[in-house]
Amino acid sequence: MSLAAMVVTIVFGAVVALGVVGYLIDKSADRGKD
Amino acid sequence: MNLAHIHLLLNHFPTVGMLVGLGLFLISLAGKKDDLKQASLVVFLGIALLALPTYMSGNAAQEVICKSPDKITCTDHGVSKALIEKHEGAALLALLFMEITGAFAWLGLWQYRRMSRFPRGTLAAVAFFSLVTFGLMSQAANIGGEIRHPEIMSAEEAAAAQAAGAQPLGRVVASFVVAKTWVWATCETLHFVGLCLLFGIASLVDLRILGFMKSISFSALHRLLPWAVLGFGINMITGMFFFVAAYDQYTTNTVYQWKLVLIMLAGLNVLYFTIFDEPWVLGPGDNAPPMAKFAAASAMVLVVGVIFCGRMLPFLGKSF
Repeated sequence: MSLAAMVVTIVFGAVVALGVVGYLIDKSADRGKD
Repeated sequence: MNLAHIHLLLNHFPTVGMLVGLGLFLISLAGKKDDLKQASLVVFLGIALLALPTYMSGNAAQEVICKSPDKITCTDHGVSKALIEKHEGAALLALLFMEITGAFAWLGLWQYRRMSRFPRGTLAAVAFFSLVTFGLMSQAANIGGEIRHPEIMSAEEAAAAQAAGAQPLGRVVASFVVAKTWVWATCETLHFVGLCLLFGIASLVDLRILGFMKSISFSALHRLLPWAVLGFGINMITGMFFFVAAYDQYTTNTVYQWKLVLIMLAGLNVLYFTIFDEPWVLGPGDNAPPMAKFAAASAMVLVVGVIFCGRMLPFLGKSF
């Protein structure tokens, strides 16, 4: 795998992981409200 | 006063502070006192912030006492380079767990603001990580004490300290970052992703408090804060990769020292916007009180200051 492909893959993987964690935290703010 | 002096000053805070925070936290759980839970989480968060300059000033202290040209032994022959690096590795592991504890503590404070109760899962995570962190911090502190106090070591420990042995964690991470070209490039890109999240959300919150976009309530913007903290988390992890790999570029760099001071102050600002009542009660159309406006204006200056210092590392600080 070339250097550029490796960097792009990891960066996008990390951003997706960030999205999932952020979504779960955001969802936790709704729990127990109703 | 130099940074070695600062390290001596700061290095007691993470261990003693964790003990205080942990004690408060356990009492609050036993007594089911929400105020005390909140106070202990603030202590954990404060220690998580202070642990950063504590760790970094440690490398600066090493620079002061180990300036020998061969970089294997120390200029001061009374101390062992192998033991210093063992202390560095133990401190890095303790720092990692401290920051995880701090992240869960912040999450608990944010959730409490929104729901008026602490979710069990978050409290369980804080309890687990704070206990592990206290153990790791104590171990790192003990090894640190042995550097200048060989009288507290047994004969076997003293012999082991002088031996090269396995490479400590800090140096393993450094070799990894330096040897693999993609690591620095990836971390640099992610550092900017984190920066955009942090700056973007901080700007929205600060501008609302200062009087822009008044139709939005503060609680709506408070919802975005975890994304800013995630951005900070990315920047801390990627930043630590840079620091551990080339600490001598940073410890001697005044611009970097300023950056760290500004990060600490910005952290206090985040705490204000996370838990205090003044901004929280701002509904649509409301004008923020002067204290909140001061916090928002200072937050903007601090964040821009952090970005400026980071960007200026190679220019004003002559790094790289």
